[in-house]
Amino acid sequence: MELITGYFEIYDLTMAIQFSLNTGPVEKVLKTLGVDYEPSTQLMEFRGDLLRDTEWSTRMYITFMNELGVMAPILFPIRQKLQDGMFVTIEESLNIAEEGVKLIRDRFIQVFADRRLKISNDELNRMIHENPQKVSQAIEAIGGISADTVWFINQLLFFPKTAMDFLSSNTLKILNYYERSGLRELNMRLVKGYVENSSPQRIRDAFSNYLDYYGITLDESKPLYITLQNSVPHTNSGVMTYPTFHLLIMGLEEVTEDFSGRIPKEVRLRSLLKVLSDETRFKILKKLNNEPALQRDLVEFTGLAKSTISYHIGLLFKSSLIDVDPFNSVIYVRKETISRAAADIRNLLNIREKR
Amino acid sequence: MKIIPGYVELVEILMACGFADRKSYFDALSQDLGFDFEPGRELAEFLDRVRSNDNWSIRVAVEVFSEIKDSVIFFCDFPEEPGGELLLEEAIESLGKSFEEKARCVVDSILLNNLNLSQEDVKKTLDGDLSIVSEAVDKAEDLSENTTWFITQLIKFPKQSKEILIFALRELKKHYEESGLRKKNRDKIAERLRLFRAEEYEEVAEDFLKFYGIRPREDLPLHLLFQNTLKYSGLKFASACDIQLIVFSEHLKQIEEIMNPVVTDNTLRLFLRNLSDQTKMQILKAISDEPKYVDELARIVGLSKATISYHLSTLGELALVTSRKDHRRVYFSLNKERLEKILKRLETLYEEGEE
Repeated sequence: MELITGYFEIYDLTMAIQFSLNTGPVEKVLKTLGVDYEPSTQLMEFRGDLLRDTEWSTRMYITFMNELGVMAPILFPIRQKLQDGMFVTIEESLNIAEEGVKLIRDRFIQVFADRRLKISNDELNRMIHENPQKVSQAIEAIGGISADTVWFINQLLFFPKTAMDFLSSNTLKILNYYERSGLRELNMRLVKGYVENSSPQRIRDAFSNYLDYYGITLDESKPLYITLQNSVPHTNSGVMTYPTFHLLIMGLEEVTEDFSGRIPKEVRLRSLLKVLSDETRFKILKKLNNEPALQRDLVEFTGLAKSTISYHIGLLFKSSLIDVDPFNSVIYVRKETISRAAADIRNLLNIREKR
Repeated sequence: MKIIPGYVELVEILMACGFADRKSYFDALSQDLGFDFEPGRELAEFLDRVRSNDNWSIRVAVEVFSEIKDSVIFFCDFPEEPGGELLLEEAIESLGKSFEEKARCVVDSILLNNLNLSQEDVKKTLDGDLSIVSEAVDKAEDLSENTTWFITQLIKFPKQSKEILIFALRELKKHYEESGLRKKNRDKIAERLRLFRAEEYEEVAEDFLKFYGIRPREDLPLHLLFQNTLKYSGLKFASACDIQLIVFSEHLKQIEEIMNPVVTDNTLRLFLRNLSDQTKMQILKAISDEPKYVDELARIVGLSKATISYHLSTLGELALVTSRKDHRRVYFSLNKERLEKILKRLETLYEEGEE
């Protein structure tokens, strides 16, 4: 499989925004998994500035960056910019010529048509011209996203230039906070330091340990991008699969610590069983098995607070018990994980399966 | 086999002393088994009174009652008819009259069940050869000094033991009364005896024996003793001097779910949760190929014998381990049949429809 590793700075910023909007659940997930995590003072300062800024455009921007965090590769196309071993700054990824805007829009249309509407690219293009009302309705019907995000997607389809202007000017505004807090300098310094002093093979090894831990097998015909991030260094985005490539945003300390060696089967199994044996999570899994659902459906189903569900989903995801569709946020159970756990227990305790 | 359900008030005092002496053990076990056990106001009051009593014989008695209650229990009389009830006053009076006879049963049980001597050694000891006991007592690391002292006294100086014991029981009875625990338990038992139906208990008792693989003697009656002090009695089955008994407690209702031939969601979760505990996983793994005794397990896992015993109690309650006595030792082995059943349930978790 073709593997491209590097640093795409905008994704580090995306992680910082996501952390800022989901601080409690993210911290609790890491704590439950036994990861010793203390957010950097720079990250906390960035978060403070970001949450204090109540201007409407900031709110819109961070809302859809949070909700469509996994769509970042579409809005900030990694394939055009990143080559193996490269560092791409935020400014560079914002520098989009007119054909760039067109490309982003086309890419978006392609994913939208394929993943959501299950129609061809051409059909959707035709629909945009002939029946824009219908397209807007389809956007409305995307589950689990807020009005702010619906607004932005509409802009992107019908007013691409304005949308991209909005995107870059707000990114630059947030970049200000990112810089002022010292988070940018910190992240850049640590990631650079790491990349310059160790071989790219270490990232590959960490990735292979990661795949082993999660029990993931990838479609090897597509290239895989691994980009580092240091905003929340013990966490990753999960492997995201797009029509033409895979992407994984990996925390720096996952590479240097968490996945630096193969994780013993027993440790993984114990942590999985702990996650699985909680009553609420058990209920959520059974519900998702009956029918894949959105996070907000689970809020309704369990009657629990959004942040509590977000914590449970985070844990289930980190234990590989569920998958989240990167495009529409629908959550599915990963059946293999349970079968594998049962097989691991059999192995560990010497119990042969009876037919 | 005739099953005789009944109530012996002295058993409540044994239970309360067990709790006074080993509260953390009961707490940990209750939590493992998913009972939320909060000692009531009265039990807490009893605890306080006992702890603040600095009389030496009380301290010894509490420790002895707690550590070897499965043998001390043979100081009691037992009801001859289903639904019978024996009060504390009667028990103390009767113990005063026939102490020597009862003490012989208690010693018999201690030698067999607490020191794990063979029938042959027991006979030798009772014939006056005390060397075996001294040796066995020295080896029994999980018994406190007070308890080993008491065992020797009971064999060598039954008369003095009687005085200490009767004095302690009278004192403990005062605490039991003044704390309000006696009234609380009596009220509950009155209600239970009013609704009493012998057949109901016979059925539960038979399921219970079958589930835990206990084989009582068919030619002797089996006493089922109610107790209300603790949710978990920690006393499954005891026998000595042609008497055999089970102590029932409220937790039997919860155990009923565990005993259910169909593995429920709760039971499955309970299993997963306990397996996610590092020590329990290590113990199960260690006995997965061949049976082991507590000392061996303590060495393998690197923890104290008391800690290992506590974990084995939980695993025993869940019927994941079974035990067998052989040459002064109790060997624990994996209950593969039961594990197979639970694993099947885990493997088919996603195959069933809505509940």
